Amino acid sequence: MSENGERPIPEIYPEAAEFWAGTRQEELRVPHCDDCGETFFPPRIVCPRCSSNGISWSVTSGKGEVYSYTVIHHSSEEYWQDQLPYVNCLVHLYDKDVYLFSTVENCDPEDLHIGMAVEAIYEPLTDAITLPKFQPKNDD
Amino acid sequence: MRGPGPEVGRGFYGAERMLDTEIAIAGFGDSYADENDVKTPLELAVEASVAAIEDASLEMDDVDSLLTGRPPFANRGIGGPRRSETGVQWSNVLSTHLGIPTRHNTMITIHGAGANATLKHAWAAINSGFADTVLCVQSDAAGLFVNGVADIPKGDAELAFEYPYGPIMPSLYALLARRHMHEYGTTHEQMARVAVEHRKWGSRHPEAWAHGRGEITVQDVRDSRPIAEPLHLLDCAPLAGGVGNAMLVTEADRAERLQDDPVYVRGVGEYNTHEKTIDKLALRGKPPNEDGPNLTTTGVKQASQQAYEMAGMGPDDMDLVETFTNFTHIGLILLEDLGFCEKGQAGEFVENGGIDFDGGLPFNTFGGLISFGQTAQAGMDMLTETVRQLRGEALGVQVPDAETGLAHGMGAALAGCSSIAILSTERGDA
Repeated sequence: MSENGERPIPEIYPEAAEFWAGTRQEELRVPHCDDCGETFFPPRIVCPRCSSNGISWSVTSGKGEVYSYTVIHHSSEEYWQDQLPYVNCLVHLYDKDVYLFSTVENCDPEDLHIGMAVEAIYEPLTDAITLPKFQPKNDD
Repeated sequence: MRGPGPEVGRGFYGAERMLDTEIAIAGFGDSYADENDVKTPLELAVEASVAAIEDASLEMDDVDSLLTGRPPFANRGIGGPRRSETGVQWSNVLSTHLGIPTRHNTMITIHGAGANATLKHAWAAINSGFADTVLCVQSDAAGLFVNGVADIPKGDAELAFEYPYGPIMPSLYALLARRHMHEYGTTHEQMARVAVEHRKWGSRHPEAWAHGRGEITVQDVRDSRPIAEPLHLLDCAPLAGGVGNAMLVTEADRAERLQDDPVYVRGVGEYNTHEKTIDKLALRGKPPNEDGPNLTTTGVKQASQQAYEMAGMGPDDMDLVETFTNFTHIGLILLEDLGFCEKGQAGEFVENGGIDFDGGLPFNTFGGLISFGQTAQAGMDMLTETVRQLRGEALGVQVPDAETGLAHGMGAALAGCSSIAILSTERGDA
């Protein structure tokens, strides 16, 4: 994946096509079940709660808080070695009760904390894939 | 006849049926490799299997079932199990190589927990009559053949939703450590203490990575270089060497005829909650997430409850506990979820001497993966140590009067898959 010295490009699973359509528009969309109302992530082929295949998508605010995070200081791959230190995190979205794995940028690692308010930002990687990431959201 | 099991998850638990033949380990074998003595996974598995058969006073032709865990990076094909573009059928590769047709043959695909779960599957096969002489085998030598730091995340990180952010195994597990510190006030000093005590066992085990490396202090752990905060180098298991393990399992009556020191399988349990890190938070309304998504409680709780119930025992009955402690904070979480202390209290438990090499619970007497080293999958190392200790044949420090032990297997990022076996020198159905 990162053998060519680039960031790995995600594959688009059929059930996640709408997610990546969203990020291309700089939107964070998540699925929910038409039958039982459950919102879930990652995308599934049927609702993980009631197994219905009636799945719709809605746009989130793209805002949330850091649920957990780590600062990485070690890699054995050239691409990632060039990025050290970098962040891995789990973000809990405010308006949909789901968690995304991501990174936080534009932030001093010392300032990272659980509960930190973040907002989605977007990095186009290819024509098909725009990768969502997060940055600190300052209170206005 | 054992009593009904608890309601665990969707927990049916088979005791009310007429399946109650006790099984025992009639023979075992283990084999080792390192940079100075390189062996492939297939060589390690074959060596261990032959040793187990001999130890059980049997011939290879007596075996009618072969069970393994997940293949050890087999598709890398470096002399190991034969490369296959359609996925390596490791258990069938091995039985073929040993020259034995089998009537009950499977690879158990719950990640690193699969190898430990071979005992559960052996119990079911023997009790159902589908097999009578079961060879349970695992081997792994990833430390010698692959770049584990780069390659293991390709198996344990979600390729679309996690892998593009460059996770390494420690960064996935660090997310759990951070939550445990946040929710329960666990400190890095308490985590470091886990490494300190594990090193005391590991440095005295001749096949451990830590052998001859001397002891460490809490400050040594704190001073070791950060890998993925809060995890430092000495919080993490090193990828090291190669190991092969094999157990010959059969009905207890027969095991007693074959072996002076059979080891009885008194209880088994299994519980699997998820595949990848984000999946752990996606599980809703089911154990261990009944109260909401969490990272800090694992399915080990449910798996161990099953095993304790089947054995008619509890944590206090364990003379030793061998677990898949690949990071220091996992050791803490396992102590909680196995029932040795309350949720969130393991830091204090350890700080107050709970797992002290000198006088505490014998916990990971082979050093745990953090001191023994992790061969990527390491699935049966805990069972091997338990059997050796119970037979009085520990390679490292022997726990005196060891009669009953618990062996834990784990796999999938953040303990998605959990398997427990409770073994004893005492028969349960007597």
